[in-house]
Amino acid sequence: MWNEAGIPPAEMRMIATVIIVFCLGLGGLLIYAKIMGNGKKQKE
Amino acid sequence: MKNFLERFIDSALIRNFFDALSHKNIPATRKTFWYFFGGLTLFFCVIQGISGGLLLIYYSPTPQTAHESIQSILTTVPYGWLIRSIHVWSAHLLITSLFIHFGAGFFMSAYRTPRESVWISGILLLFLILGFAFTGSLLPWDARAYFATQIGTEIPRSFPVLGPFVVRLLRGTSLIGAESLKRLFALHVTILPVISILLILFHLIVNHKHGPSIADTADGRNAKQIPFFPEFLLRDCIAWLTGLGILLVLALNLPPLVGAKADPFVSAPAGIKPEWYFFPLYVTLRMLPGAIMGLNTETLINILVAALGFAFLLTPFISHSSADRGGISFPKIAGAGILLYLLGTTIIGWILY
Repeated sequence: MWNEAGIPPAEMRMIATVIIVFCLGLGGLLIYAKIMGNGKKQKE
Repeated sequence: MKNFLERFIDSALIRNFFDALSHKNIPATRKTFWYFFGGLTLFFCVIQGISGGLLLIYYSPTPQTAHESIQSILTTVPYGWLIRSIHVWSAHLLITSLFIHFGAGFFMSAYRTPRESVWISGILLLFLILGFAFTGSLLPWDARAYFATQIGTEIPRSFPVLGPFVVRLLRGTSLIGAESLKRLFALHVTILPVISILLILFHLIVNHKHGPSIADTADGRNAKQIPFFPEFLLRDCIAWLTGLGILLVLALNLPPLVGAKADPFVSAPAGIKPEWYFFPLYVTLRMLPGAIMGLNTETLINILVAALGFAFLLTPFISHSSADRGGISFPKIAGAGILLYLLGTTIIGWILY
């Protein structure tokens, strides 16, 4: 299944990419929500 | 354990550290976006340190074993291919981010008094990072790495007085061999990292002491101020997550392979060229004739590159006019010309050679 260079097939790597990008995006959104929350608190 | 952690967080040192960060304000203007590239560069430096440390466990720096150890990292070491891919791609992203950070600093006149020490340490770090890239490129010991380093280490030879000494210092012998690999490896994993860590710490401390250069401008004074901790750091985290995302997409989907083992006794394969960040130098040398007005072109280019390096290093002392506070000045026009030349030659190197 793995090629000669020991690298997993492209499909597997693509799935891993999608999962990682999704998790990082979610993390980014959480931080963004925190920034917005802090901004609102300061205004109040 | 909890008590220990609480006491640690509550200790004067940690408290003072976070107090200092929360008292540092960053003006939130449109230009503030460019500040994220400083943090991003540091982030990629950390990634390079971690991935490089992991590769170091399995890499063996001798001509007999270097190529085999890289092959072993790719094929037998669990996730070795991914760690190497991250190390290679992170180097590209680090240099990209560093160039943007440098360009933004230059065009925002971040070298102005009292930030000379921030600027000079930053320029020295730029040279050091390029040194990392150059010394690291030989380590896979494949044909491309071997001949590209052979050509790259030949370039300084024509520099007046110091040239032959620098070539000898880098290679150890007349041609690239075991001694050269040992020397470049030592530079890559010990000498350059130690100097870089010290310089990065200095760069961060003086940067913290003097604050962002934008704060001195009318834009910065009128803008809303946000505390560095936690507000700016949270925004930095988003930049780091974006950087990490780009890095993982590239590392997972475009893993760099290793070519055939270097053989000094065969001729160089066709199409050998340096990494993209050395294209301006490579393209300039290829475009110009061997001699200009009776002088060796390589000597002229070497002198020009050294002069340019010194000019950037000494920018705070060359340019201290009030025109630098946002207006158009000679250094900015010259900088824009150099930027256009660098971009142009990089594109030419990519397409034509």
